[in-house]
Amino acid sequence: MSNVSRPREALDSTVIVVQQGDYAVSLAADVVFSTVLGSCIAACVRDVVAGVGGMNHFLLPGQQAPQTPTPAYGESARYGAYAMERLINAVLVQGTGKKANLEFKIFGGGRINAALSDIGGQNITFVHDFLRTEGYAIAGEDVGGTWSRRVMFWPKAGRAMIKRLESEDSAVIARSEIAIARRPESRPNARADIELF
Amino acid sequence: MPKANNIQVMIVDDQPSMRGICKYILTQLGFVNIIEAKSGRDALGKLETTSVDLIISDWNMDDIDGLTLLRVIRKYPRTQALPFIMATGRSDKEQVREAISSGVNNYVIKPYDAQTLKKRIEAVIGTLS
Repeated sequence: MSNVSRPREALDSTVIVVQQGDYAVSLAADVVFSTVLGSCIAACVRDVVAGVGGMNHFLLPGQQAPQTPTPAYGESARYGAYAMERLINAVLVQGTGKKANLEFKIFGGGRINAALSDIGGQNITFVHDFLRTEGYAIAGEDVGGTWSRRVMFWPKAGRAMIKRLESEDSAVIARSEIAIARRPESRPNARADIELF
Repeated sequence: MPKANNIQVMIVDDQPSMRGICKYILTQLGFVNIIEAKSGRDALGKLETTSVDLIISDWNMDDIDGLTLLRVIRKYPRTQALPFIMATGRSDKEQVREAISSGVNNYVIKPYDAQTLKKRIEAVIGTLS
């Protein structure tokens, strides 16, 4: 993967890289979230009144196998819904706490490897279904296609910048995403739960 | 030994997706009497008119959060012994202690699967037949 230079708009900002399976929230004007997406999705959420925003980065588990179906409430949906919920909750806690003030932008879900099933498409379908079910509108998106993307998101302003990456980068990104999604420790259900009682 | 299909469960969560997931898992475990509440306030309203055997509640909610709901439920004689499981993404020990001191019966970390939730339910109401 080649290094992508920092765009001029981000020169004076603190860049926080959001890794796959993670999320970040900030209300600082000089913070920019950055991530690179192949088939993965990054949802960017902003409380437009409080000027607090966040970004997550996830790939639904259980979709590495080409023919795996995606039941509405199966493991994949549970993981994806959790990835969305914890980002939304974190923004609500630091913001006004009102869901009506949230604005969503969605990125990623590329079909990077034409030989495999459309994992990116399944991730796009999930996030669209999730937002529709929760009653949220999408203010902007750049999803699908056959390329990977670098996404930068300024959480306070709600501004996003997309850069499409070269195809040789996309192949590396796709392999990396699937490898990370296959790691047991990246699957929340596989972690030891708290045993209290 | 309690039977899942005889138990009335209330799911409290302000996110329709999460209610749907919890209901799906409960159905997998054999529960058929499932009531949904879309907020803590909605739950308290429904508890006034409906008999419930078990509550599974989210922690983070818009109006009345799960901890406040738990504390209100524990205040009233009719509901003070109602089994209450908190479902949350939080794993902070201090918050867990707060929930325990407020009378939570058990605690499940999202995203949970059917077997995890079954273990928590059985720890509270007994092994399901």
